[in-house]
Amino acid sequence: MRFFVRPAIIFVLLVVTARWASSATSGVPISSVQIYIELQSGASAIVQERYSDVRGSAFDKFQCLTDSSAQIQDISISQNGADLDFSTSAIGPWAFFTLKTPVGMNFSSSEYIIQYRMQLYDQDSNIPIVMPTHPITSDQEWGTKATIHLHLPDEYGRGEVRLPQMERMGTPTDLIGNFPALPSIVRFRFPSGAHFADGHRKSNSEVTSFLGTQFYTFLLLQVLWVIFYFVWARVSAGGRL
Amino acid sequence: MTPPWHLHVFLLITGLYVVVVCLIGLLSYKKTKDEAGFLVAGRSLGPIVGGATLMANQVSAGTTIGVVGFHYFSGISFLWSWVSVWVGWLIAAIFVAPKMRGMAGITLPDYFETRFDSRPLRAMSAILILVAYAVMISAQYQAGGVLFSLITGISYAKAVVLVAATVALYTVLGGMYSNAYVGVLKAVLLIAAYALAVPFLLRSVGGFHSLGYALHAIDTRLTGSWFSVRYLFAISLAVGLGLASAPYEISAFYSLSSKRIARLAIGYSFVFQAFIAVGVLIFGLSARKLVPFLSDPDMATPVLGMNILPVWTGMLVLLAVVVTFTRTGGALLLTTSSAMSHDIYVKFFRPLAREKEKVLAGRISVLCFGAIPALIALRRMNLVNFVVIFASQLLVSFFFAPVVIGLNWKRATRNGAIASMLGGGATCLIWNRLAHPYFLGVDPVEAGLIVSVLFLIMFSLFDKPSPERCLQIFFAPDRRSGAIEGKVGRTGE
Repeated sequence: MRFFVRPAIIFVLLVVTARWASSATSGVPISSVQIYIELQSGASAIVQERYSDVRGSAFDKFQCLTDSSAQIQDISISQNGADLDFSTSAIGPWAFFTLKTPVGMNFSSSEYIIQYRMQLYDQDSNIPIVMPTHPITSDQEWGTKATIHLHLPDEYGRGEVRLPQMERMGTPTDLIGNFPALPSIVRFRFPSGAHFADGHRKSNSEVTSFLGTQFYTFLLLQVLWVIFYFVWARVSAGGRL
Repeated sequence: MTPPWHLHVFLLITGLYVVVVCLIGLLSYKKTKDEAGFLVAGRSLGPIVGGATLMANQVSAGTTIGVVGFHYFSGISFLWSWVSVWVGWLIAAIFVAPKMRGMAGITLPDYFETRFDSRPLRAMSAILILVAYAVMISAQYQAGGVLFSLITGISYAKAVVLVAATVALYTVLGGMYSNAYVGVLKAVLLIAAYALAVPFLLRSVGGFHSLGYALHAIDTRLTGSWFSVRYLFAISLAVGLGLASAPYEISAFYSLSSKRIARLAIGYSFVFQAFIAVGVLIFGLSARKLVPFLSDPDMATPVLGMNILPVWTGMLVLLAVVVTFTRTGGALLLTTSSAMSHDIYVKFFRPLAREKEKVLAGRISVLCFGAIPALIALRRMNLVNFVVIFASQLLVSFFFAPVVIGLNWKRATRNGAIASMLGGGATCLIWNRLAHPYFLGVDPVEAGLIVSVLFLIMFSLFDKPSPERCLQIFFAPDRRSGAIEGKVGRTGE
């Protein structure tokens, strides 16, 4: 039975520690918000280009963007027309950045505008992909800017998002499959256990990621299992610890 | 579709793999002159080769294709089903492997006849193995067919036939020896593939932290709990407990050189599986981030191998998957054919057969039972992992109680075992038909297991005890590890 006791104690201690850590920050007013934007791009993006031949007849040509990657660029965040500071920790087909309030202030109900530009790159050569020219007529940039209106907070503390006001020069019918310029997924993440300055509380279950907690707990338990198993196998075969 | 030169690389290394396993089969052919040599490798396997064999039996297409698909659509919570594997190996190490190795049989039905002095029990268990494993082999062929047809562009039917022929060829040549050494090859390839691919994938998704945010953004359940604890428990019960009484693992226990080696081999097997558990998790989660809209989650691994990973790493991953389903298919095929040749043909029709005839019967069975699952696989089934889970549920309901309790409770009797197997198996089947997922709040495997355990205990207590000669081999005082196999070790039954 002793074989089972020690892992069980360690597991209980882990659970208690994780629980304590998640509740330790409860009640702290929010001074930063982490924002995540993802472009709906990827291996299956297919663009339908429409061309006209020399006689003026329209025909379609399909371009598969399988080997392309998308990047979000030139992010700006503003509130009431004034730019805000933020830091970016990851960028690519997705952007993940932290917006901080000025010292001494906390987030309150307000509207924030996030703008960004999206550019597709060839994955091998890293050369920007020039997107279809028809019916785009201007600078051949694709989905030049997307604007997200963000209201903080709603009753769940998630932020209200009106998605998206694209200054797009193509039309949706030009695309088949995934539409690479749309920020289809926008989520906000707040410090665990915190609440808004104006009294709104967030829902932990909505915004807390348990990925790391689960993964590292699993790894730890797996290592413990191996150690105890071989100790048991040695002892049961008549060996000593 | 894969670019042409990728296809050539894949075909080249796959062809090389087929040549290597056939060479292994040919080299092993010389060692398979008697039945014990063909079906249990002459009881000669050491801890590492044995550990690789146990792992290679367990890690099937259900893992490298199916579990990756599960993580793809359900996120991280399915990771906890591995806990059942820990428990299953522990039960096997404490209650099953040493006693089975001590008995030194050839097949699981050998145990039933030896422990319960019952030929009908041998026949029943052999027939169930034939049926359930035909389904499980077909799942391996299906996964292979899907992958091959996707990569090479050949038809699904041709791909299934190709996979089935490869598996049958090396199994018919080298039997358990082939399976053991191909198991080592599988362990090396899987660990190498995951060791190379996982860092690349984590870098591609922006690190573990960003991966978490991305998945959380797609669906909060991906980083939390997609499956309820209730559902995970039911799946785990089938996988974990099934492992302790799985016929192919029992055959692997017979193949190990001693009881002490059996315990060590289980430990090594677990170490191999620990790497694979992390690998398939990262594969599934990364695929969800990188290609979030796959119509079939089972396509996650092939798509990563062909489109996302660097060419050579991707090809290595795909080769490891090929090895996975061919090797597990081989183990299942060997167990199925041994049920036919050893437990039915030899025991019921040709008890006085010479060793040469027994081996020949085994090889012919391999060829016959390699074809039947291929025919099943040609009719595409559900998600591979669901197929494997259903077959596991049936096997657990049938075998777990009479094996684990029968090995450790003297009072278990023949009638108790028959009632347990029939009651448990029938309950699991009926429960599956009645409603999904929980008729009366109980999962099919739980219902089957409860009925199986209750029947074993009740019918045994109302029965007269088993004869002492049936108990001696399993309940003799264990002076030290290896005591029992000293008596019966390499002599078989």
